[in-house]
Amino acid sequence: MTDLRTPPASDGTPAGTGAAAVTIARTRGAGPARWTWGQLALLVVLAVVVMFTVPNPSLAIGMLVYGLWAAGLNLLVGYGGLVSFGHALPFAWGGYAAGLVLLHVSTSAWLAMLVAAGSMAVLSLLVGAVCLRRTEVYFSMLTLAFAQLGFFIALQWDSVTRGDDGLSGIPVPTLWLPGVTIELNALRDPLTFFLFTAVVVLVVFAAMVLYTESPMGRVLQAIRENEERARGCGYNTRLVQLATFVVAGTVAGLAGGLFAMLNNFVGLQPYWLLSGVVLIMVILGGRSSLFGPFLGAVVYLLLESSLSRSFASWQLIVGAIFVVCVLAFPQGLWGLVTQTLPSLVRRGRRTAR
Amino acid sequence: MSRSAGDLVLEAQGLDRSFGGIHAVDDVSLEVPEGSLHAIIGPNGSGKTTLFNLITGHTRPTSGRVRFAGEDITGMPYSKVARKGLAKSYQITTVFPLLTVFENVRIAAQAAGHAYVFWRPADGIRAVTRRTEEVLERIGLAADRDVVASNLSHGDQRRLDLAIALATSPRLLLLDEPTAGMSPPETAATVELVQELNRDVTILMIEHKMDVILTIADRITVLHQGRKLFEGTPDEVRDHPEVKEVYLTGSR
Ligand SMILES: Nc1ncnc2c1ncn2[C@@H]1O[C@H](COP(=O)(O)OP(=O)(O)OP(=O)(O)O)[C@@H](O)[C@H]1O
Ligand SMILES: [Mg+2]
Repeated sequence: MTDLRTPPASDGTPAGTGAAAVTIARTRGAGPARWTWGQLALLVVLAVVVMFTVPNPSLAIGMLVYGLWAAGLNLLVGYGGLVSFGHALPFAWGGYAAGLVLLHVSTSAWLAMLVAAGSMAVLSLLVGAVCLRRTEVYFSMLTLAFAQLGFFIALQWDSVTRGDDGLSGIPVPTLWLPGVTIELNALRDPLTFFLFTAVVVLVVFAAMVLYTESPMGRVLQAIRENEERARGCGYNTRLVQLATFVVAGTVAGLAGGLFAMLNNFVGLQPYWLLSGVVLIMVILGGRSSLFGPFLGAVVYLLLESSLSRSFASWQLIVGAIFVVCVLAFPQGLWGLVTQTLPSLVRRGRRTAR
Repeated sequence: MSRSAGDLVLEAQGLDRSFGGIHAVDDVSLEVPEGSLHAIIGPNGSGKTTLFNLITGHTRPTSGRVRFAGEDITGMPYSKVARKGLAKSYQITTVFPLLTVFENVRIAAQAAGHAYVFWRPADGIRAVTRRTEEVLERIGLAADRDVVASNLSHGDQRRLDLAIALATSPRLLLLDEPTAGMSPPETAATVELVQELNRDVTILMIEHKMDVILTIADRITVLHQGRKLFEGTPDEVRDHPEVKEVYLTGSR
């Protein structure tokens, strides 16, 4: 009958809801984003705070990398209403791609990042074209399946990925800039690495903010609200979603590449095991902005690093905190600050009068 | 392409569609000339909405053809038909609930020239902003531009639905019961609006309220059980014995 990709033409009623993934995507937390360009300033402030307060440099750099990755995922989850359960795939792919380039081709940081992001863009196009044949929870399941597939390939394809052992001894990347050559050695010179990462992250973050503010980004949100109507305005809704899938994948690939450069190592752990973690970062931070997930990543990593030192079962505690967060403030931490608190204050003032 | 009154914007021939055992639309043909206001009436379940869906490409006809502005659009996907200049407002209000009124209309307004622009902010595109404001002004929602759509009253949501359709600058506007669920004053305002819109755009509308339709339509098609029972001017429809019977008793 009709194309299977399109929800039934039920004249206006939104296509079947009920699945958890859909609930995540459709609750009020995903409402209109208020903060736009101010997010850039917030990110600079956050990066400076992290730089001066987080004692472990590798953790501080990791916060920037994870933050970028989570913000990119939120293009799909918060803006697009497309909940990916397999966002470890682009991150891990980017890590392996950068690692292999540094090991076998050149120690150029630019080349490693370019290959990590570029190859992932191409792969995202293919994976996205398949996953977006379905929507809602079926989309989520397909992304999960692809991440599982990637994991097994990484495990089995020993000659390239070195399976269980992973790629260790990745050489220190070199950053060629006009006039200067800089060694990006996270151990010996963490400040340089941090600043380099911060600049890259800020530029990519700015590009993502522009994307959400552009006509295309607005259509993405409109599709989340009502795909049928967006189609009625003449939009090829799958095209917009696929483009977003590619953007989120490319950003994740770049983040994975940076992570490989930071650790000089790529392996099954932790790369392939982070699909759930990055989703938690997004939801913890809040889905109505790009800054929220970034904040979520920083808070998550802080919790992890402080709890894992004192408790063996720290994941249990993080899980419990997460459940409480989702139930008590579904808009996430940033939503709490920008939406819930102001409305409470307003209500408080009204009753005081 | 030269356009003059009398040119057909829409030409449907022998449209047919069944759902299981129900023959929802049964061999219906329709001709809508440029500039006209053509109405479709019929009892509940007589196939009016299904006929719209066959025209817009929502639903594939079992047989029959649809020509729009001289081009065969049968079987074309809905979004492509929309790009050709055919916009529809919905019987069940269909808007972008968590976006503001302004954003709702802007999404439609930018579709024509700036659909897939990702390298510049939407706020900076003056032509789109102007078009959006113009439509809001015309529909009477300018004061509510920053209200989130789901917080609007039912009547205002109906009008926003219409505004979205209008903002795409269509050549043919399909309105599926634009006054459904509206109070008498809201209905009167909407009728006036539809008449005013008809000065620039051809309109094909479904309407249940007979008094409304008899005053504003140029031509009326009466559907009954999926078939075309009659077609004519409002006066002819008013005097037609079979139509009277269907509308007085609800069935034959
Ligand atoms: N997608 C569908 N699947 C099955 N049956 C359908 C479908 N769409 C419409 N029908 C049936 O086709 C018939 C015509 O429905 P349609 O909605 O076109 O009527 P209508 O004239 O618009 O009625 P109303 O005045 O109530 O809006 C009805 O019997 C309806 O149940
Ligand atoms: Mg109907």
